[in-house]
Amino acid sequence: MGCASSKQFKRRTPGYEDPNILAKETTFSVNEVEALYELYKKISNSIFKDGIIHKEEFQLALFRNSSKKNLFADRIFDLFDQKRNGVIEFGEFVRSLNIFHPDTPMTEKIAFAFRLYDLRCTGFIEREELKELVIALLNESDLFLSEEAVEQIVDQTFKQADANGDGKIDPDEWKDFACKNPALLRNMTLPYLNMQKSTWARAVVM
Amino acid sequence: MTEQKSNVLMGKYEVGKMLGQGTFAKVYHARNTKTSESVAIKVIDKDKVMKVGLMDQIKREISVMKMVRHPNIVQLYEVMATKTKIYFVLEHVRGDVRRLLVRILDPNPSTRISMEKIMENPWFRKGLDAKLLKHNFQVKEKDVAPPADLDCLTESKQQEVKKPCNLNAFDIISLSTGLDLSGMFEESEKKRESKFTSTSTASTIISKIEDIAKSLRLKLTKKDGGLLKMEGSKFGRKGVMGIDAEIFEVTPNFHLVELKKTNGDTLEYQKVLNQEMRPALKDIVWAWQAMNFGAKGSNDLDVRKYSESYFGLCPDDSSSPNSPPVAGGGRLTQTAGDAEPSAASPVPDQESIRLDRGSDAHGLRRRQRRGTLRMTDTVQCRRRYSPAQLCPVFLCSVRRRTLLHEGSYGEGTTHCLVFHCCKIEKWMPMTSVTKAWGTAAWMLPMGCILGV
Repeated sequence: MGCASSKQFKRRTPGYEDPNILAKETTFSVNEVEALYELYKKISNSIFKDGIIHKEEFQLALFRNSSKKNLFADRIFDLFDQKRNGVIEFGEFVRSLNIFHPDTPMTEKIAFAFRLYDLRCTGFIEREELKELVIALLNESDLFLSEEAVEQIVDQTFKQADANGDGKIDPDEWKDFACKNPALLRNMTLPYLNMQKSTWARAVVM
Repeated sequence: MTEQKSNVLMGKYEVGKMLGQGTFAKVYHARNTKTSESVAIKVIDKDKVMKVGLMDQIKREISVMKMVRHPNIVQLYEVMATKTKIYFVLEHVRGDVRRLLVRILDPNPSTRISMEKIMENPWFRKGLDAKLLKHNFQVKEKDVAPPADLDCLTESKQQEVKKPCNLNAFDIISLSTGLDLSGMFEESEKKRESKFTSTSTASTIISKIEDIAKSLRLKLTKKDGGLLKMEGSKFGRKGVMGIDAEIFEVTPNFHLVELKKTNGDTLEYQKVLNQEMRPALKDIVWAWQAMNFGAKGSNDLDVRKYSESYFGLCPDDSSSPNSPPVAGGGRLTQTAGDAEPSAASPVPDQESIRLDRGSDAHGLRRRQRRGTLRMTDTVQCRRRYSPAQLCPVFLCSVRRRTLLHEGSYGEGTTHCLVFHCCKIEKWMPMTSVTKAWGTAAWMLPMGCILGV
């Protein structure tokens, strides 16, 4: 676009935000935000070339396949898309990825996971939602468990997580449960975001 | 046969007509001259047995049969031997079972004997504790928790590895590839970990991984929670290669295994993983998780594969509709039509049966006393079952055994055959057994034989 000689970030994409401001708001340093911008550009120009991440591009980045439907990826996309305009802008991208930073406090990760699993945004993880998620995962992996087996798994989990037994998991119950089972949140941390150690960042910045 | 000429064996048994014949033995009807009791005498040809090196099996047969007392199992009265022959003096059983067997194996489902009728059959009810039966019928499976003391029985060699971690619903969800954002940051080929699911039991998975580690010359250590640590012996480009295999339980028949590089060079690891491990794991892998292995990393799925391993149906069974309902609590939705609905069927899930190797006759006795059924070196039941629960499966496996082992067996020795045949299972490598029949069909019979 005729700006090859320009300095970084001259070409402003929609939703572009100043790395300094983003760095202040997040765990990332300015350099790291800049590195993320390179990644963002790469992803957002992979299909539509308009500098904004569309769902297809997001799927392509995750699965190397732009048409792979996945409930969980959809959920992540929706949560990244804070303005709810159907695309992920750069600011949204950085702020959302911040949750996945190894240094981000656990409480933020726990809250993010809660919103992720609260499919209908009711403020609770309900039994039906959990079941739907389990079934989605099983389908994704081509597994077929009987209704009964799924029920049993969900029941058992509710027994552990739903402390007050009202049939839904509220944020406090979720917090307790997640603290007891930290493995649940393993996907909420991406070691790659710790850029001092990550070869990825070096590669992108260069 | 010299005994036949004189017609009296060891001065004690008057030998009559032949009842049946197998590869190594012939079975004759005989009468105890003192008590005039009818017996069956199995005459084993020592030479033939020695030639194929099965003497140990005979010895084991003797030691096991001596231990077992059950109305439905032929009792071994005594063993005698001459230079060339071994004689088993067995209880003589009449052929009422055979009639039942024919009715069970009736290929026409509408005339085939029903579960209820089988259970009404006097043969099944022989030696059956009425209370136990009632109990088993009324109480739903999941309500019957195995007695606490049974849990401590998993301490044999094979069970050194603690039970794999049980995954809760959120753990299961978190396995989704859609929640794994690392794909944005790295090339798929360089992934450090890969996962696969398996419908094998934990111990089958473990022994498979042990085999692989052995063939790759990796040192393997077992840790708590179904974790297997493997370490190379050679110093590679970036140190010694380290691989972790962690087994998670989704349901007792359904496990997830995660393979992870813990040390060493990624390329070397990828090479081992893709060229050695993945092909070697083929038998137990249900599907590789689509962890960025392209669009879909799973193997070609074969629904029948699952139904076989789940219901314990042998491959040739799906063509013949006469397999007894082995499905305890059918979990597989799409095979529901395959097996008869089992609401009334008390046949237990195979879940509670564990594969086990490495126990001995002594262990068998000990375990029986402690409430676990166990057969020499293959099987361990974690719960007690009534013969009525087990027999349908039992008989169904009898048929398979007979298919496998040619030879005619007379009416009088039906029981003996059953026993004999079940024992034969042990000689087969574990994998081919599980492959051929799944697990349920050949493990349950052991429980039956070893006597409730």
